[in-house]
Amino acid sequence: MFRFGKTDKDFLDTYASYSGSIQRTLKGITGNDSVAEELTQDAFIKAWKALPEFGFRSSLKTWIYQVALNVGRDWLRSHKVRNVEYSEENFEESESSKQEQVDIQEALLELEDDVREILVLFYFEGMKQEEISVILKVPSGTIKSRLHSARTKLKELLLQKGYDV
Amino acid sequence: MNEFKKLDQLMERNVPAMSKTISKKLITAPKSRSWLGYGLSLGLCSLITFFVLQHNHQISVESSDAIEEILAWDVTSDEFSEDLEVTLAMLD
Repeated sequence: MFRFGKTDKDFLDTYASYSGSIQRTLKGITGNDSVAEELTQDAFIKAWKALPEFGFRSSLKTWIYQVALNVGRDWLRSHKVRNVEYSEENFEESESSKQEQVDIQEALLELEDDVREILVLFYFEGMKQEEISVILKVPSGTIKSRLHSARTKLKELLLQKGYDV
Repeated sequence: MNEFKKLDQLMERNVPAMSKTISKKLITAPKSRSWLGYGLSLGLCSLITFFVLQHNHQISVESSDAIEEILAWDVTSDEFSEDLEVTLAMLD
């Protein structure tokens, strides 16, 4: 019988707190709003089902990000198409132009999946190297060098697109 | 000088807008409910159940009245069509 316990409440709180961030991360990784929305639900369902094996041995947030990144990687493996078509309607009017947003997303999609993951966590989620290191289960020093390399690659792609970066 | 300064500025300028469509869609994310919320939900469910049961009871009473009417009909009489209309109106 289902019982609504503290664990479930913690999980719902986590959903309320992080579903937006997870969806933003998955959008950065897949380049697609509706796919990100779907994958976010998948990630939380998977996390919910696997809750007993997680056992709260680490931060729920970290674990949710790990599950979400795995869901994103699975999706990328089964969807070979990298050039996701963009509708400019998906991008918000703001100080920055829609074209800049499209160019950044396209540049991100041109990068390797693991490079894009680091950049999305760094720029979209504002995570520090240590936090990225815990989520990706990679030493902090390695993340530092990978992040430097990832930013260099993104910079090169944006330079090619004519940006002064 | 930070070699990524301009890149970081470009990203800082764009990332909030790129994320905005998502946060708009997520306004319905479930929140944990208070006891007051559970109480109100329970009260509303009880009220709905009461009205549904009451409605079914009325239908049941009206249906049995209509059956009695039908049994009392003399289909050969001139009043048949008039009775039929009245009975159908009761069932409506």
